[in-house]
Amino acid sequence: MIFGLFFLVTYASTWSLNRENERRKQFLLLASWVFYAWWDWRFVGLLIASALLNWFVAKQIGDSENRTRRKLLVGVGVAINLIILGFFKYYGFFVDQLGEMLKLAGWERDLPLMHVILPIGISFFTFQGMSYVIDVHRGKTPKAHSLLDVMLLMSFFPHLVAGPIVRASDLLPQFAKPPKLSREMAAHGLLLIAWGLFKKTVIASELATGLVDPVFFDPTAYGAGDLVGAAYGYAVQIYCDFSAYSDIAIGVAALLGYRFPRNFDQPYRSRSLQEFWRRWHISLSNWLRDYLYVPLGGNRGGLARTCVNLMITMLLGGLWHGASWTFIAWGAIHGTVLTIERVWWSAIRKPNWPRLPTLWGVIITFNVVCLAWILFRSDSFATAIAYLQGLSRLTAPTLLTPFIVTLIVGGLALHALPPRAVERTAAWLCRIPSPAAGLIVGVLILLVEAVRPAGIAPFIYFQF
Amino acid sequence: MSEDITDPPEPQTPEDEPTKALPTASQTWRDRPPLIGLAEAAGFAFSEPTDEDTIADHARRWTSRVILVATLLLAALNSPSIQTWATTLPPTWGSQTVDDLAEVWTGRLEQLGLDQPRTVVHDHYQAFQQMSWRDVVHGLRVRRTPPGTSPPHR
Repeated sequence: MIFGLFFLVTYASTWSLNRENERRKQFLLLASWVFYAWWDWRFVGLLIASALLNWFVAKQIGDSENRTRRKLLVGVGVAINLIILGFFKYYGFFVDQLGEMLKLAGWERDLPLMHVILPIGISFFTFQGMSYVIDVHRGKTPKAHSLLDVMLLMSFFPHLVAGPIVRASDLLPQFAKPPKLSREMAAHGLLLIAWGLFKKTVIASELATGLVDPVFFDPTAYGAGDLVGAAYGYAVQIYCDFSAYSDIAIGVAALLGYRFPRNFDQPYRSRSLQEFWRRWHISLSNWLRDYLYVPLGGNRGGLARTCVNLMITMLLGGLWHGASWTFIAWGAIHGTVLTIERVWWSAIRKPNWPRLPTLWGVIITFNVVCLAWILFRSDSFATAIAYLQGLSRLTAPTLLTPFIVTLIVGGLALHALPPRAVERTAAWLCRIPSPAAGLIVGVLILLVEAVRPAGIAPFIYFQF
Repeated sequence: MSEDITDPPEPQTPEDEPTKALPTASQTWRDRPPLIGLAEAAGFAFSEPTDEDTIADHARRWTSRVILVATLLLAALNSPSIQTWATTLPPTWGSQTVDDLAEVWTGRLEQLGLDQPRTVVHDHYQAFQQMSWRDVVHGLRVRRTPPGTSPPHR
């Protein structure tokens, strides 16, 4: 409700400033800081400092002709971003690990423990800042016209806390002139918001409270039916939760006149894990590809080197999600299966061998992804092992009610919809008169409001 | 920070641009083909809007009217949500005022019966939520029972 009011005020104010692009951007920046301060005002300073740093480094890189100096600057810029991210996100984890290692070596020491609060969205805005600095260094994007543009690039509220990771080359050109709105864009934005609300509040929230949270809290209390159901349920929950946030972010930005890249594309219809990563969290997988996998050498150094690069990329991708061994193990599973796929296609499979039927490919990939989700969702290895051991406990399911099963099947059935279904509906909606379109959008949101539960948990990706 | 304030465009006189030449929203949108392919090619969720000011202005007005109608509809038919939200606010003079206003607003709309659509959907959905597998089997049996015979009791 508060976000709705905030958005209505922002929408009306920004469009009233449409002829004055700089003031419009200043207003949007202020609104973004208010949005961030609503969670914790102290970290607005961190956001500003991070933007200042990236603006300054990119400006120095852009102004310098000296290749060595440019290299040094980009190295410093990336290092400082990583230090910021490392301190806030990984300090406790690394101190714990160091303590354990010293204990094993017989040099037990009291290490300086601090309870560091994780600023919401830090992984997203530091990755955005880094990509800006690197892109300016690579000459892929020119340095921003002003500090305001870099501040807004990193703080723009629709993508601030949970992505998508919007690159400077996507957004800075849009900041250069007053945005234009089209009816197609607006209709698409409105439908994406309604669709996102439905996925988050109806599917993801109900699955979380009715099945996933209780089962993952104590997997030993449940039998195989509930455990399998909760693994599939979590796969649906995390998709509906995260893609909902992305949809709402893209929709809100669209109504303000800005275009964000697509972040999800029916990921569970992938026939391989490689395809899965082209459909799931597209902005992160593209980021990891462009700024980690390719600089490591990509597939240019032979099969063995490619596999090592894939593994490193996925391990670090896992670590990006959080300071925990379970996330690293999640990345390791993805890295291993991607490596197996690569070896299979490059070295083992003969061209005359028959291809695996599409349906089998989808089923196998989905189950591998679900297996990895068990590690991703578990709070520790002990929980994950208890969960996997419980899969052999054959007892009647207690939580798989018709309602819950409908949500799981329904969530998976979304992947059977025609590709770009929302876009096609928007293409129809934008052609009808505004009162009718308003009634349709209002009724859609009313239906979601009528069926959603009373309390809604925060989006899962807020913690990353 | 560089100052880059874009001046508003010069007002067009009838001599510069005849009124009949200006595209109207309905004409423009009827004539334009869907732009899905363009968006897909760029990797964006949708295609770049046109640069034409008139069309963009029409589109903005259309969007504002859609949002206004949707907001009014929700304010009228979704008042229980407003009241529920108001009760969750921390107790201050402002939140108490909002709570009181929401209560009065909800009460008035209930008298008019405007809460009914939401209540009907909500009740049906809750019944579905509470359904057990036995209810599903029972429901299927009822469906299979020939008309005129009583359904088997649970």
